[in-house]
Amino acid sequence: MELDKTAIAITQRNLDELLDLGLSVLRRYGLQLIKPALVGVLPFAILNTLLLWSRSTLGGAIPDPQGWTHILLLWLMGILVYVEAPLAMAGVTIVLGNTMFGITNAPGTVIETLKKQSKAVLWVMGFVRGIVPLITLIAFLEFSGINQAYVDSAGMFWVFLISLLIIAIRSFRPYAPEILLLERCKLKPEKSAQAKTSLIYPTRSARLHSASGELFGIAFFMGIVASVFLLILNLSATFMVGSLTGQWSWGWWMDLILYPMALWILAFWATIMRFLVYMNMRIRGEGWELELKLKAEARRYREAKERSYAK
Amino acid sequence: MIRCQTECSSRIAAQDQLPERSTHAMGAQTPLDLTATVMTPENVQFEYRLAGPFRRFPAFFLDLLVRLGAIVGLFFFVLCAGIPNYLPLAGTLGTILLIVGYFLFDWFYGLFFETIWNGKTPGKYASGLRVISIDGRPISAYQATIRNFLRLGDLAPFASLQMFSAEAPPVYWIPTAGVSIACMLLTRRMQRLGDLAAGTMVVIDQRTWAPPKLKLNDTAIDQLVPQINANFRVSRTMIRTIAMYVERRNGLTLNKRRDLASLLAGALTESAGVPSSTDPDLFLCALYKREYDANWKSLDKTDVPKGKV
Repeated sequence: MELDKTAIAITQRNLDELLDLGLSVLRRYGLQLIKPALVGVLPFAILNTLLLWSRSTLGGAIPDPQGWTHILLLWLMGILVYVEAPLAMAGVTIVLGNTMFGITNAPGTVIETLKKQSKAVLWVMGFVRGIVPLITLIAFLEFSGINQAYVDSAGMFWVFLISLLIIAIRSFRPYAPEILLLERCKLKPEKSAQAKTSLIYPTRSARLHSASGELFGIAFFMGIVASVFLLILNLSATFMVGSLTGQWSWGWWMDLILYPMALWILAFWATIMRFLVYMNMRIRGEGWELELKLKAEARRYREAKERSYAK
Repeated sequence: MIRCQTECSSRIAAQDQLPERSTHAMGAQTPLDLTATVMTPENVQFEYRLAGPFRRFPAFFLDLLVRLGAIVGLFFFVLCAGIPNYLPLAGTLGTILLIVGYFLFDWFYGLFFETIWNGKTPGKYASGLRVISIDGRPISAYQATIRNFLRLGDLAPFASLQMFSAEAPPVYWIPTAGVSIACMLLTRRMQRLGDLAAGTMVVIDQRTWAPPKLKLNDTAIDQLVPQINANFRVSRTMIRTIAMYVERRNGLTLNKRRDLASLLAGALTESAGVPSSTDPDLFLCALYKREYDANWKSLDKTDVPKGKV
């Protein structure tokens, strides 16, 4: 790893600097990152629309923007995107990691990494982090034909409980995608002697996520920023639709197209931010910035010394 | 950041003018960072740390509070001065005074401060920010006027209250700041619409660096200090790097400390007159302690340590 040849300068930064840097990364590498994002998002976006179709006005729901059914639609869509985002953005994480250290981002390399880590990714991100349980529960509630009043009260309580659990896990252990996809840690130690020495996922995760208070603080702050961004995106989208079509109230296009799109844009941004915070933690923990500066200073000193001898 | 106070015309560094490419080979680009480089005709290069929307938000919020405070103060002044009791048209006069006051504070606050205070407003001063021209020169009154008068455009689009309730009046009152965020996202210098029109950028106004006072409680370090050759001098950039190391070494494992310290200590021990077998971590600490005691201790008025190692 050549620390002086990275795509993003190795410097320890504050959270506000990282947030600004996130925008710069979007500007410079946005086009490069959008392809893996679209490939990952599309299946989940279709699945979410199918799951929540009956709650939209197109699916037969009575139009009532302030009604409970509509609020549940927005909340369920939000929580589904939040839960699915790490898996949907797995490609983005790999491309970001490769870009950072100058590795070629051919589609084949990205697919190969995903293939190699597929078992661990599906287990940790699919099951432990609740994608499969949550989607199964929502699908059961929406399509089993049980009483709608029960679904909207007791059923949603269970969805809420599982969501809380997932939010807690993700807040205290946010860097599972980076550990699995960039550091390529395995779930269990491998048999070969060489692989035995490498860290396995549980050990690496425990080490990286030791500062739980700091991690929760970052997650909380990022949650606030993301909420503000979501509001801005939706208000701007409503303004644009209103100006162009004269329709100022929320319709099916907001529920099923623009709102989910805003959520996925946020998920895309959050993936970049998570990567930057992860890099920052490693820069601090492993002294990368210090290494660069100390090396540069030693080189300068040696060069000055050689020059003075030459004179 | 180094301040560029020269009045002579300057030009943006050639590197800054190059269009950015999204390449796979990262070696082709300079590492991404929040910096802007400005080159003067004398071929002197200045580097500024840019402030994006998140760094600028506290300054914006503080300025908003100051403006609101001033308007509320004016309201109480009108009320307490007893204007409503003495003049027959007092109610109208008070209202006019308040509206004019609001207009002046809201529209000319930024313009006034940025012009007379070298690109700073109270909020920017508290947040350590400054507005400068993109060529590194201080901001002019003309530029301050343009960037402040376009603030309203930056806060657009405005959302209607009716989006939240159908019974609310159709007033476009809620600023979303979508325009400014989009502009900052798309420009290299993270400029909002007003900055683009005025040719300005907001940078972090770094104060003069002073080494942190660190408590180095280790007898081994104290014993090592007199062993360092009295004629051995270190440059200012080197002492900054060593200070950074000493400040952060606490968060590193012992092995990592030794590995990192040896990168620099290896080049210095011979000239410093200490044996090459000396612990590199202790050597850098001793060197820092010696330099701090010799150059900065006398300037330090406080006895409270800023950090503990």
